[in-house]
Amino acid sequence: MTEANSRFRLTVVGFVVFALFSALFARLWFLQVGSSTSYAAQTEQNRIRTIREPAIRGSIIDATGKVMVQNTLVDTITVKRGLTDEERAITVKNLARVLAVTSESIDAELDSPKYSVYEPVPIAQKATFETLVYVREHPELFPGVSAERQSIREYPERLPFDDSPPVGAHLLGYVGSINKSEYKIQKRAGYTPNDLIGKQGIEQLFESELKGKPRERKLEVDSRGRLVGEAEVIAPEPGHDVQLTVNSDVQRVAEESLRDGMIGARNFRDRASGKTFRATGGSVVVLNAQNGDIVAMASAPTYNIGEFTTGIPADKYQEYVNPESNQPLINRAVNGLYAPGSTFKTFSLYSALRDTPSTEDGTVFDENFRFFDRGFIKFGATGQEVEFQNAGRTPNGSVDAVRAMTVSSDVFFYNIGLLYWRTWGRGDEGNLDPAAPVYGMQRTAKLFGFSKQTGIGFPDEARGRVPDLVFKQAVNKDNPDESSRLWLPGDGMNLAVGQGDVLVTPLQLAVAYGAFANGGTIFQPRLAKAVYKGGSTLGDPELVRDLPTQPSRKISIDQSIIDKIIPGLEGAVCSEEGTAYGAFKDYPCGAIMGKTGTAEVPNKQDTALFVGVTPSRVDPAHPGPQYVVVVVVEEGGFGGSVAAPIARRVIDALKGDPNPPAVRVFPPSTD
Amino acid sequence: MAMTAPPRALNRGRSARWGTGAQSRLGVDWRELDWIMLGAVILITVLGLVMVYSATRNLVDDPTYFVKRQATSLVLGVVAFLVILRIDYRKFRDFSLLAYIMVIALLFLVVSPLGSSAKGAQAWFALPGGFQFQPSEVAKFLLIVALCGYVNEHRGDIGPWRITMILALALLPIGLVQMQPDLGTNMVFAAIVIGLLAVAGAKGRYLLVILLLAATGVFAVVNLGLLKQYQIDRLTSVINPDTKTQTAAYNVDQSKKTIGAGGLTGAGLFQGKQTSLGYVPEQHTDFIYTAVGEELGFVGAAALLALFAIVMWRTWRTARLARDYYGTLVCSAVFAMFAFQIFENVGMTMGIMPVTGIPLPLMSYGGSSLIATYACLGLVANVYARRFT
Repeated sequence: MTEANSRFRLTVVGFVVFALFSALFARLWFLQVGSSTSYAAQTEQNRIRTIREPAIRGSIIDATGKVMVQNTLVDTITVKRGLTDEERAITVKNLARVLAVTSESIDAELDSPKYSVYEPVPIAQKATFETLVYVREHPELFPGVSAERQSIREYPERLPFDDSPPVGAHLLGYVGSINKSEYKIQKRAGYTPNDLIGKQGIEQLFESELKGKPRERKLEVDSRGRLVGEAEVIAPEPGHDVQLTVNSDVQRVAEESLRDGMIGARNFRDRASGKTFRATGGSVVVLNAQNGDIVAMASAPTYNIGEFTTGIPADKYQEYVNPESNQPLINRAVNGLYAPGSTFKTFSLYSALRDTPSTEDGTVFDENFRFFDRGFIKFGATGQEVEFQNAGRTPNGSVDAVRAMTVSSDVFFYNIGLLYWRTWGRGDEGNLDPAAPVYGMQRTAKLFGFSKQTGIGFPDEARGRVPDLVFKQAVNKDNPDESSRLWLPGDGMNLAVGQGDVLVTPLQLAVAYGAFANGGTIFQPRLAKAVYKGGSTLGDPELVRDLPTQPSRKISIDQSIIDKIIPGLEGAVCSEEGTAYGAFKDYPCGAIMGKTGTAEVPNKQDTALFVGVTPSRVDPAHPGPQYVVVVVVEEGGFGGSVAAPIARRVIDALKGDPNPPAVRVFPPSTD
Repeated sequence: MAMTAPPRALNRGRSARWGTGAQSRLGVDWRELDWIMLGAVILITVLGLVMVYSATRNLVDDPTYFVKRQATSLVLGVVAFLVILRIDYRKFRDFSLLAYIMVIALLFLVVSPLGSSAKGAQAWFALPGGFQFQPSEVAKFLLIVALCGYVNEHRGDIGPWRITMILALALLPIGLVQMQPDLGTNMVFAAIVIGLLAVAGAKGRYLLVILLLAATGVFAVVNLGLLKQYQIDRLTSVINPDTKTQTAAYNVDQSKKTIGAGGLTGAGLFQGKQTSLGYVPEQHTDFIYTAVGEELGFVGAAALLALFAIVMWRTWRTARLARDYYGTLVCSAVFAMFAFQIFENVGMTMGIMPVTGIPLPLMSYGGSSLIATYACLGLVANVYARRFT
């Protein structure tokens, strides 16, 4: 072996090692400079344990400043589900030690059937704060345990019912553990899977205002999980207080009256079936037509949000979702869909006076559609006539645009529907164009906001339905009868009296009547009017900001037509032959206008409806509130006998009486 | 030795210019030492002490406990360096056989009941004062002396037979170390043998066969149940790093994160959170590089690598400048050993090499390793200082 060969080989070895060192440099650069931030974040995750204490949730006060929802603190320790046997053993042993109870008692709670198998089990509701801190600083001793100083909701305003439930269940909503789909949506907003979140009503709608920012303690721990210090504390920001447009007295009266009216309705018999009315549910909406503010919003059957403050007990939840309970969790004001019945006639009449279907063939006598109501109307080819009747085939005699509203003549409106068909429908039975003249009533309904969400803000608000031929054809696409896919005279006649396929929510009715009364402004209903600094409304209110009036839109209406209709609506409440006269007879004429409705529902008893507006006109020189009160009672019978008396008591409350005389329902007469 | 006395005048002249004291104590003229390499070595050593302090100050009550012990070992290491430097390296040729016998004896004794075990390996002798002696570290130095002597004796004759003999000589200590078991040390042994053979002139195809044999050997050891599970986990954790259930994978994971967290300029000396809170197991020993990475950042960690590169470069240069073939062999063997240890150790902390228990020379906490490293550096310095004589 020569010296030169050895030197050459040494050179080769040197190159190999040089290459290896270059690789080390490259790797070092990649780790520290190329991707350093992610590693830095990972090491922080290693050693920083974040403890979050939710902020105090904002209070909710009514329009007058009365507290409807506030907070109270409880120190809770809960154990989540799905622990392994070892984890559970560790948790039970250590919890028993710190809470000074027996392991058996904790095991018994964990196995108790009273808690949902999906929800954490509350083990202690009134633990000491020291215990909480200890548990949270030693998660290794308490797998699956969450220890939180919880601020739970408290409701000072109560209803005078059996278990004194809070006022405004559906309106206020409740707060509960965030579920998977909510977490997915809210993760970006900084929510964690252990957070609470508003579930319904105001709590859901104003979640971002009410929640506040949690206090975060970033604790530094070493490799064995021992606490070495507090790295950072982010101060909490209490949630804002929200002031509603709702008046809690009116809200309470609305809920009481709805319940009492429903109980009263159950004493009466349905003439058709001979059975007593079931009055299974209902809703009251009070809206200020001048600005779109919601003054009250009630739904029945109701539920007790006071029971939900520390999680919904499984047995209660089962009871609420049981079909027998008739869906108490649903807010019927925005999610209940009803045939409007005669309350829709206002819009049918508006359409007829605007569109002036031909009167040449002699069925009506003048431009006010004066007509002789014999109690029924027939149409069709000779020998194949179809008869449409008033309730009880009661004849109303000579009716025109005004009297037809006051006495609620169905025959008059059947004739309106028929006129639409006779004027424009013949030969146009298959016209799908919604702008075709025969669909004038649909256009009016849509103009006043039906079949659209009002935009109150609840994510699942119902849209309702205004039937047109497109809809009819979709429904009947497999019907062997070809005529089911045509727009027939009967369709228009049904629509004119608010029957058939038209569906509305109580809130839509309120908004539409509001626009009718206020000169054509459709308000997006507003529930809250201001946001205050958290807790300040309990003492010296500190305004954060006013909430703007919701966007509104002006619709193009003919005020002269409205002015023709109003006397008929006033007559309905103040004329002796008015359908709601019984409920309002001691009110002066002009103070209120309204319309009753009794809607037929297939396989169910009639829905009782009433829409009242008070005052019926607002003098622009003396602006003031103008309230629309909508009352709906499912399977409640006649609008005038059940719904109007409920509205009456609510209107009494609106006039300033916090405890008006009891609801006085009437036996069903006519509609 | 030649009896002719050197000319007095020359002798006096040297003494007058440089003095003679240094030469007589060191055994060489201190001017002839490689101060570039020694400067790098001193810097690395000092940094090693600082980082050991940083990584251990929170481990026990006395924050200087580990660093004091390391300093004690350093004194012994420097003594070993000076002693080895003083003796002309060529004399070591005469002790090749003795060195080999010592290797075998030490490695045999440590797996006998005289040795003590810790962390699953019987690799230590317990010494009074709580010190431990790890013979496999010193065995690296002795094996270099032994093998270089043998190869030197058979220079120009590195054919299949001689290679087989050399491998046989190496396999005996490797077998003994495997009884501990200590795969890391064996890989260093293998690196020394391969480096030595490469420089000594073994044909490329033989080297290739040896590399394949070494790889097969590691594979067999891992798969034939010759390793403890934790060692298999360590080796395979690079291949499958996401199975964090394994402690070794955890180790690599934390190690990479810790280095990565340092960023460009690091958290600052003694400011490393991962380091001060003990997130990296074995950080003061095998994973000392992570402390450098986190606290001094890329700047510091790259500077440390550069210092190691200087040491490597000077060792390599010394191998080329050596007065004789034996000197070249000794330096090449030390070069191969350092290169492998540094690459493997730093590589494993950054997740590109499997985790094996190999210390980072001059940096890792561990007296035996520090002393053995200084002994090997003594050999290189020795060859350098006598490159003209």
